[in-house]
Amino acid sequence: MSTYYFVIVGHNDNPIYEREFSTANKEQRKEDQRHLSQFIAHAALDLVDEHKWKTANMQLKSIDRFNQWFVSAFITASQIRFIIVHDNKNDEGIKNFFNEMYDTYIKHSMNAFYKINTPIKSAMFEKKSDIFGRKYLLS
Amino acid sequence: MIHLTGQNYNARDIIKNIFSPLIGVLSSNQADEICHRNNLSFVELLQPFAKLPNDAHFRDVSGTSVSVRGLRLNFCDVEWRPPQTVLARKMLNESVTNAHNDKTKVATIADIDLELPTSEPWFEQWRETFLTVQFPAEHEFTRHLLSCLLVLSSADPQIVETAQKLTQRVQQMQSITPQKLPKWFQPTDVLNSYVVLHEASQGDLSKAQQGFELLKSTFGDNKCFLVSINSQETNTISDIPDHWTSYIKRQPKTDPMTSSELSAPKSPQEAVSVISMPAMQMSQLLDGAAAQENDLTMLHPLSPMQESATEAINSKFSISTESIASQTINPNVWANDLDADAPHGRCLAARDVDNLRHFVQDYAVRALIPYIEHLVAILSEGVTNKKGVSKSLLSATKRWFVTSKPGAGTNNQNAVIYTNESAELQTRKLGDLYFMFGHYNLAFQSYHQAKRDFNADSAWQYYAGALEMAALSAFMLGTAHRKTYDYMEDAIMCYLTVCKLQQFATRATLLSMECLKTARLYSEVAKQLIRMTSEESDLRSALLLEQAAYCFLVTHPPMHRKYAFHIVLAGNRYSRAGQRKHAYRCYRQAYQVFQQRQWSLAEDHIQYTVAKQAYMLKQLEEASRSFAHLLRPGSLQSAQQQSSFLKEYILTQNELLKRSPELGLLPHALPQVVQSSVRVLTLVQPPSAQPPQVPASNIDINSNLTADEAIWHKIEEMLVITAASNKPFVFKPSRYLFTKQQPATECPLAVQGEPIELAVTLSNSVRCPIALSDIDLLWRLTLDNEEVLSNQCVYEQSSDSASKLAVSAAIKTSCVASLDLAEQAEQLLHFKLTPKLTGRLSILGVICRVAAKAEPTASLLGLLQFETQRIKPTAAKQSSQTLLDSRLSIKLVPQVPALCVSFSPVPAELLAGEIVPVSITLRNLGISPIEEIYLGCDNPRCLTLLDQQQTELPLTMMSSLRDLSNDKLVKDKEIRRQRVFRLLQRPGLAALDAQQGHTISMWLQAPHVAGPFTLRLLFYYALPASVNAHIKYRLVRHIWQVQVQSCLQADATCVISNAVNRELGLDVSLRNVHTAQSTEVYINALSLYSKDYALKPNNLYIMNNMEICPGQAGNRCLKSAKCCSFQCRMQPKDEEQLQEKPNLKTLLRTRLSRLDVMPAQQLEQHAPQLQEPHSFLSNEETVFFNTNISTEEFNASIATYVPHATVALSWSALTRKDDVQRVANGVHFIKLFNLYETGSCPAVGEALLRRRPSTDETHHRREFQLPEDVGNEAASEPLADDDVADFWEPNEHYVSQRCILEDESFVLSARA
Repeated sequence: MSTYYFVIVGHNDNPIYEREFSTANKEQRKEDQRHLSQFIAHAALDLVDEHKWKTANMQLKSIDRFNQWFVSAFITASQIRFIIVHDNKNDEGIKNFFNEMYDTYIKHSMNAFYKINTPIKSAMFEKKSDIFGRKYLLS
Repeated sequence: MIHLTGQNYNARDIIKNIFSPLIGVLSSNQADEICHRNNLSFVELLQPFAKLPNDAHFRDVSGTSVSVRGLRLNFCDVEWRPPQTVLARKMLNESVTNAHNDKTKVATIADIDLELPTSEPWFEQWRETFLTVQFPAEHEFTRHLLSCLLVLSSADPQIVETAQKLTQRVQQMQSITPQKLPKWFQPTDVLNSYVVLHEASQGDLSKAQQGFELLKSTFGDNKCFLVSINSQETNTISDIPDHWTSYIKRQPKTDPMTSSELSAPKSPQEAVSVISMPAMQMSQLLDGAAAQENDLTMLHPLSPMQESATEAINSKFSISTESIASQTINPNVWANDLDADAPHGRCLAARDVDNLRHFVQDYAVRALIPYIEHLVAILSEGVTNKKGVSKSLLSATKRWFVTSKPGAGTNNQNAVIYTNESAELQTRKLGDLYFMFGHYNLAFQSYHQAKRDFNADSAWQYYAGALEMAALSAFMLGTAHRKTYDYMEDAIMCYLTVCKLQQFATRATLLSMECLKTARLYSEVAKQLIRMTSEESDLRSALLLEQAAYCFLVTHPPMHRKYAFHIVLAGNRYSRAGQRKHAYRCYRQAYQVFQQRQWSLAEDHIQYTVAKQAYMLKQLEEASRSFAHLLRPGSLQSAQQQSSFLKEYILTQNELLKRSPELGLLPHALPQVVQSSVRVLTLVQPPSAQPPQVPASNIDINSNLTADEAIWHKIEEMLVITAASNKPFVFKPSRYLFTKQQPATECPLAVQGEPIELAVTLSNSVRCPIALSDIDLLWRLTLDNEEVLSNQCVYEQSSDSASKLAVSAAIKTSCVASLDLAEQAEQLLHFKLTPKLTGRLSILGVICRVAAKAEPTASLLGLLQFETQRIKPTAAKQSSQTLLDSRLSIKLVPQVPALCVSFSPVPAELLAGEIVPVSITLRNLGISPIEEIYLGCDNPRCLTLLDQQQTELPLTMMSSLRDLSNDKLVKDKEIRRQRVFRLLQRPGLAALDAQQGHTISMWLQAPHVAGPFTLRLLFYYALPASVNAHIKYRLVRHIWQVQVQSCLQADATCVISNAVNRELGLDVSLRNVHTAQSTEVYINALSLYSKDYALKPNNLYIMNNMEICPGQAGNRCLKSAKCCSFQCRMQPKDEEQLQEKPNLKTLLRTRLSRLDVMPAQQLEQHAPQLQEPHSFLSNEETVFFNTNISTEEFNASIATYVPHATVALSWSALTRKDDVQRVANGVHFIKLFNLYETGSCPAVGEALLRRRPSTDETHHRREFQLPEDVGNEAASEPLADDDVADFWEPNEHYVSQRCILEDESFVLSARA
């Protein structure tokens, strides 16, 4: 069983897109973990901000951990932060997922009606993230 | 006692204080008595003066003198024992519980203002208690008693015997093997010194001197000290400040009630309920239990877990079980035999304090330091002598060839047991002595040596201790660097992983923290502190996490998000440890970072915990505020979760109200008022019409006033100007409905005694249905005499019933009794207010009782507040000032006349051209007469009033008589005249007296075009000027919205029916186009309105009656989709003989001629006679000007008269709708302009096109300009006229008809 909590964080440290991927079914998942994932992801922002200037890569790899949870991050050119809180190692999958989501995010941000830093509410985006999540994270 | 709190010690002071030399104290009973007079024990008496005022000098083994600055002695009762585990735990808990600091400072990080406590006394107190309650260990000697003070009283007659007795006791303690508590640094050679206390106020000094000399001669000069104290009587007020309060920590006498409230929860279940979200409580308990069995580390760090029962056993101090069993708690130390609150040192004068200070210095210099020098000499000798002589060959080889690592080899940490005389321990002891007396250089060397030895022997506990001290020595020496920090790190790891000594690891972390903080290595500190959090001790974890969190704030750059996370974790641990206040504080601090960042679930967790903790701490206001936050719109919580939030919110609010009823009505967290949806209607028609009378529709509160409103305003403007009769007037439309789109820039006006309507939308933002009951409006009424009334008092228990009655009489409110709001639904709520007084009324909000639908019994009375809306500035005027909407502050004016208008019913569906009688009932409901009433309407073509003495001809009819282009007609006035009627005009009398009613008859004609039809009526009535300055006039609106169905299609053409005598004929063809099968149409009569022609009375030729059949009301009717046609003949009339200004009736009479066609026999005909002025013929003949035509158009329009004849067809119809048969009467009008030109009613598109301005014909002023008038040459060819020829079109009549048309004789013969 593996769970992934993916969040896109805007410039004001506000989550603009949240998504959970899990192989476990609804009953097995603890309701309670959802807020913990938020806490972990939010706390990791400090480390993202610290690491982002140290590398030329957008992939920041695993930057933080808390108990059994790892935090992987990706930072876009406009400094939108992608964060995944996960409980098992899957560097390659996460890397691919980040890249695909980056692509999707860019396309979405090109929409003239989308304002940067506001929550993403798009069925298309939702669908895409679902596809990539299943393809790279859960497989 | 270790003192670390309250003095702003720096890291060096703290370490110095922790490792100050420990001096045992044993006092005789008499000596105790002396001290107790000051409410102090001897140990306590010395505490404030334990630090040497002057430098001491200490000679090391090489003979160099080292100055010891600020040496502090740690006096300790020899009977004192560290408390047992359970007690120690309690002490630690209480040290945290009792420490508060409400002062905060603001730190701004990343634009967030963080309110942080200025200091953390709870941590300092805990640290002090933690270090104090530690048992002295085997592997280190800093916590062993170095020397002993025996305290005697000078009043003791047998002072020497007592001294010897005490000495014996002490020596017994020192010589016992194996060592029990207390432990001694050098048990074989302890320095026992003697102190004689002399009470200056009681005894004789010389006698004391005698005893002292005796003592000196027995035990030696340097071991005896005389201290004179208590030179004051007890009852005198001491002039010296209380030095002791900050040093003495006695258990405060806690009230059992408050302590149980503030500290630990009573049961694990309660502890759980404090933190977990309610809906998950059960499952989590199960989960928690299961997880505990499986894997402790997998446990959710924020999930509640029962405090482990094994905790007490696990965390027991590393001391042999035997010593724990033997320990007793000295009642003198921990019990409350001394009053904690009483002042200390009452008998001590300033010189006594000096004596005490002097004594400490004296003791250190004369007795202690020489003793230490002596010890150092012995130990160094021992170390040097045994150096190189290894204990065994094995260890020697190990020492040289193996670099062992902790944990690498065998696990048996206690494999090596050193004797007291072993060189390794001697080295360690030497190091401790050097360290305690501030000779850090030599201390470091000793520790370093010891560390290597212990490492070689794999004595990991000893090794860790030496490493720890070596690191501290380096720090104190000021030569700390990366490597020495690593020493400390290694020490902690060794304690933690190899030796499994949590207590020592914690102590080392606390020490390391001070060192690293001084070096500003805050992230290292945080790392070490976080590592020390474990499931074993929640309190310790909480405190360390909190410290770690603060460390994140002082790093560069500050990591405020890490801080937020760790302060949440700390808060969670605090709540598990039962430290509610601290948990509450921590979560609130965390919220400062998380608020308004949309981390919704995290925010909810914080808010829920804050709410629960606040509730437990009886801070109900805070609790309900947090619960309210949890019910905010857009929450991601599940329905189940939200309903439990709602339940708790209601519970909390109710408890809060019970506790403090003075709070009155609290604002509700839900449902929300959709502030922009508030609508106010100040003009409400009283429902006085008796059915079937229909009251005037007026304005509906839910109507959207859009384009309509402009029409009403135009009508109103015309009415007002007509009524003002040329007085100068700035028109401003009166307004009654105030909404978001129609904001109120001024206070709306309402009349006393007349209802005001208010509508508001409530929205339920949560996922569970809620029920509202006891719904009311909260208002405040400022009377004209500035007295303020409000119905708030109705909802407050304190106010008396008389005022409640008075208030409820002032304004009557009606509304639905209860309202159910489904999950995330919106509903509209209507209120009707009837003010009985005048003044200024402010409507403040909705009062209601909210309950969850699932649990209707738990309900909460509260207020939904209305907010004053801001008016959006229009783009046109860029005024910077913001206008506030005042729709909710209504000005109530005294009673004025009120006109009530009602109408007889009009069917919702009318046939095209149908004429309906309507009676208008006007009633004055006020107490004073109404002077004048006007009626305005937007479509005057469609109505005629019966009582109107229309003496004047409409302009268009006038223009048929004479040329009006030279009359000076004012456009606006004429337009007004067409649309405004004065009602009930009674010369010299008021139009309507008070309470009087009057009925007016009116005809209404549906237009001939099918489709929706709207007719607006606006009644205007002026108010007597004296009554009210605010309202000059009032209005009543009525609107008819009727669906018009097409029924009869009529075409008429004027032809030359007889080419020989040039007789003109009129072909009329009719078709019933009504869709319903059962509709029957009867053509009653044909009338011709013409200046020049009249119908021949007897010539009617039916040309097509094939489809005519008998109907219900007569023999000849047209059923649906049937047609017929007929022809009649016209004859020229004589020249009109009219006076200069004929009246309308005469004119109509003269010009009309009539022919019955096929009338319905059994139907009553409710329609005005065509020759009556109120028939619609005059309306048909009138050109109604558009209100916005230009003056040129107007002038052109009145100057021209197009000669024409008008055919009026009166018909009756039987129509059936929903099994109800209705008789309809109507008139179709067809205007004919030219010969062979077909006119239609309803007008057909092309027929309209064919009408053209016949400019060249206007001067003829005759209808049907016949070609023969011009000349006979064209007689044989009737279509010679060019104009007519232009309009020639294919003949639609079929051949037979055409034949008949052309041969009149044939027709006649056919009829015969």
